[in-house]
Amino acid sequence: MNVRGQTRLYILPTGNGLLFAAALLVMLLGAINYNSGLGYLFTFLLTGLALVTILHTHRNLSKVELRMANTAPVFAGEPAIFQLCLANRSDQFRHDICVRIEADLASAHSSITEPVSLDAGLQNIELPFVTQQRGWLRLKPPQLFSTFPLGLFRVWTPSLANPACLVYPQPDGSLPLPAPCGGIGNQHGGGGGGDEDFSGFRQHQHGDSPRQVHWKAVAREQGMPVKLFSGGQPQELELGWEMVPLADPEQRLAQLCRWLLTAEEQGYRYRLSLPNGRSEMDHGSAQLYVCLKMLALYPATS
Amino acid sequence: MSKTRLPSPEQMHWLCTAMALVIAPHLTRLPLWAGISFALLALWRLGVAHGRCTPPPRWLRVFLVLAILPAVYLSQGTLFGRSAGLTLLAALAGMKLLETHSPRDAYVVTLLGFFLVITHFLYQQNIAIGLYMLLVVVLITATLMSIHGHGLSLTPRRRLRYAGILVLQAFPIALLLFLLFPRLPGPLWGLPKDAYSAVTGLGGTMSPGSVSRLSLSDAVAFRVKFEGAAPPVSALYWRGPVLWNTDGRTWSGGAQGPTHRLANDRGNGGEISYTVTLEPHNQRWLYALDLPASTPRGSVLNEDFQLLKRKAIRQRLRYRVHSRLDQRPHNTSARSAARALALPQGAHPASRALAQRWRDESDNEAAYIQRVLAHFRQQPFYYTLRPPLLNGDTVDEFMFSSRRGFCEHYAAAFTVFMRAAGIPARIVTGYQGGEYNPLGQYLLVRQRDAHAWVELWQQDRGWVRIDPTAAVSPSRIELGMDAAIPQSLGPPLLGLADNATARELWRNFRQSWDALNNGWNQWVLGYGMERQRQLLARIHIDARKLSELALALAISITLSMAILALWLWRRRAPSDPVLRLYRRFCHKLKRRRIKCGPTEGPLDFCQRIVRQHPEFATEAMEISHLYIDLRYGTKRADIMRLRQAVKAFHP
Repeated sequence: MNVRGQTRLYILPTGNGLLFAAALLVMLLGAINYNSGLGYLFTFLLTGLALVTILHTHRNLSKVELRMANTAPVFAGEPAIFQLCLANRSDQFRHDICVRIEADLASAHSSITEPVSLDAGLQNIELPFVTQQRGWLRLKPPQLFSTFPLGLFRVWTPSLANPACLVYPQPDGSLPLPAPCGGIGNQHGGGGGGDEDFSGFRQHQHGDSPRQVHWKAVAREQGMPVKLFSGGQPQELELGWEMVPLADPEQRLAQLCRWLLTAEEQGYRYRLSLPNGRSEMDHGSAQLYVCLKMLALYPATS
Repeated sequence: MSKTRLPSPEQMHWLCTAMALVIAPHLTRLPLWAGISFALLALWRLGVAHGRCTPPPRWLRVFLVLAILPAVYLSQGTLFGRSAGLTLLAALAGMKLLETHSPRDAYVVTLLGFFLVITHFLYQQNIAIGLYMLLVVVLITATLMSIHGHGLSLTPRRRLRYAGILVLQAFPIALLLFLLFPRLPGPLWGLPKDAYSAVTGLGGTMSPGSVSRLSLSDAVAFRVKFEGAAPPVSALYWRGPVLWNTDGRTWSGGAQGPTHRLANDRGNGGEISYTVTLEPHNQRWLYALDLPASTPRGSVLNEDFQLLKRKAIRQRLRYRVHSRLDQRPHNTSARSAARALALPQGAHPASRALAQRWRDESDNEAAYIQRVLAHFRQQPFYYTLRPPLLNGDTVDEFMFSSRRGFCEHYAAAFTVFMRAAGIPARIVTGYQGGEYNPLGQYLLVRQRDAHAWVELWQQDRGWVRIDPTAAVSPSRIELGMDAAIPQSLGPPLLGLADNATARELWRNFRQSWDALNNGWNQWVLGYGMERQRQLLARIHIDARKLSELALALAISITLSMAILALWLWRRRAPSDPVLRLYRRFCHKLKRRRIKCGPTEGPLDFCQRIVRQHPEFATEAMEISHLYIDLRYGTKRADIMRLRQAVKAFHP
């Protein structure tokens, strides 16, 4: 079976299947006791039915593969959305296949998809998985399983994929953004990066200078847009571990996470310094990813 | 898969329909309340599924569950046995249906459904119920598929089809298990008393009306397959209980002496061998042609030449036996023959007086016997199925006033006349004749062929059979019951009973139907330990050895599963005819070692052929372009052209 990356298929009776077997035994005893020829015949017919479904259940998962796409990082508490792709390489319809993913950790948490039926070809499914802790959420290889057609047997196969999702700390804390260490212009918010060329609008955020608010739009009741300017050197922000006056390291990380998000949004260049290392001074989504990853993977103290 | 999801209305429809169909044939056996409450509970559950009714309140559910056992006990008088068990099962099925909240519950209901299917076969096992239950099994299987959301991707019709295919594929395995699974002989535990309440047949006694009661029954008594030509109908006296004693109305009693051992005089010709398949009649005796010359396995022959089993026959029994039509029992001593002279004190005074007078007037015994038989023949005696009720002295009343009777009246009166004249006489009950079925080549003996005749003791010849009925209605003996009382043969349609053609058609139909039933009885219902042993001996399997059976079962079932697996995993031709044609084209090239790569599209493949094998260029280009157009392009090309091109392509 181990051809072209396909893993082995395992099959065992389900609880319902065992119950069915017990029922068959009782039926057989009844047929023997009343010496009922038709009783024998139908008991054996149901036995045959159960045996035949072994093959049908097994066939239903053969030549079905699971492929995994990369999973976007999420903040703790948000569900991680695992992108799965089921591929049916057989030339027949496949019925009611479920995917089950389980966390690597001791927590018994698992997630199972609704049954999916596939014609020949591919089908994408999304499997949400609740996250609780920052760090790598590594899952056991997902399991494909099916109990089609009668639910008496369960066939399963472990896939070769190793799904993982980076979980950032949950942004939290209400401390104001520290003052930028260099640059010119307003004290609050290095927004827009500079102040020379107009480059667009964005919605007003706490800390924006009233001078940049586009008041005409406010008068037209279009929210509170803020004019952005580019061209000048953005202000630089040092965000450090010791700058958060909180005892609990997790709360520190949460506050740092909030700051990083705000700093990126407001257009600062920023640098994150943690006791185990520091990032470059930069901005942009790549910089945000590097910094958030540092937070996510910061070793827990306990 | 979530456990809390309620079954959808569609799933409830499947479940309720399947359960209603499995319970329907039981309605005549179930107490009225059980049938009605099942229907109400099922309807209520459907109402809940559609949001038209509120679910039952908790107190009601508790009350219903608690009420089941007392209700069964009150209506059945017991909690054990077949009927009580069935009622309990039906009531539980209704309750569980109402209580179905999860796929697991629904699964339990379908299991109860399968159970109820089997319970039908404790009551009846004919072909019709078998076929009906086969359909029900398919329906329950489809229901099982719809639970858990399985096969919800299939339309109901396709789901039924899939279930039908599953059952069909299960059939060979069922057959192997049926033939090879070791059969155990009897009940494993004591059967409840109600198991054999409805069997018909001759009892061990005879009184006016006891045989004619059976004459209205078309039920099968037994079937006989002769090894060779069947004797004429007039010789077919199937010997049953022999009656010696009378109280003036009822005849009873049997052999008092020891078991009779057959003299080993087999193999000197004149012997008739045949196999009887006896319907269960809840009595110990077997029927055999007068006179049995062998004892089937497990039976003994008593002094009256009656074959007896150790226990009452409660399942269809098949036995092979030999008979000698030319022999009479002569094993009785003169002393015990004297027992066959007794008449109750003061009974039948008129008959005894007449008998005494005739005996005195006759020269010898033979003349006397002829005189009595002539009396039956010449006086207006009538052979009738509906003799008048006799209240006083049954024999005197019959002989002198009513003169209408069935065989038991004639046999009783004749025996009294013999005994009164000092000739030892006894009554033999059994069956006479039968209907030959040319299709199945067997003789069918029905309950209405029940008969009673007389045996007279003659010192030199033994017990001689005399059938007084033959004197009154010779056709009864020569042609059988149907000729004597033809009304019973007509089709059950008004106005057709007199039509000869209709009667002939009806007879043919009944014969084929009975031949089918006989096959069914022999091979499905009567397939037990004996039959299994005989059948398997032919393929050199000793059914007495458990290990041989187990090995045969394991090998044959594995083999059939392997064949099924090959069938299930077979490569299938694609359903698209265009793709099929293109594959054939590729296959033809493959034989010339030109293989289409796994990632090579039709256009690339075509170009490679043109490059590497220019001799096929024109054909390959035509086929490839037709294929591309039909499958991916404008689809304006004619598929017939592709078909012809592929057909004409011979690389």
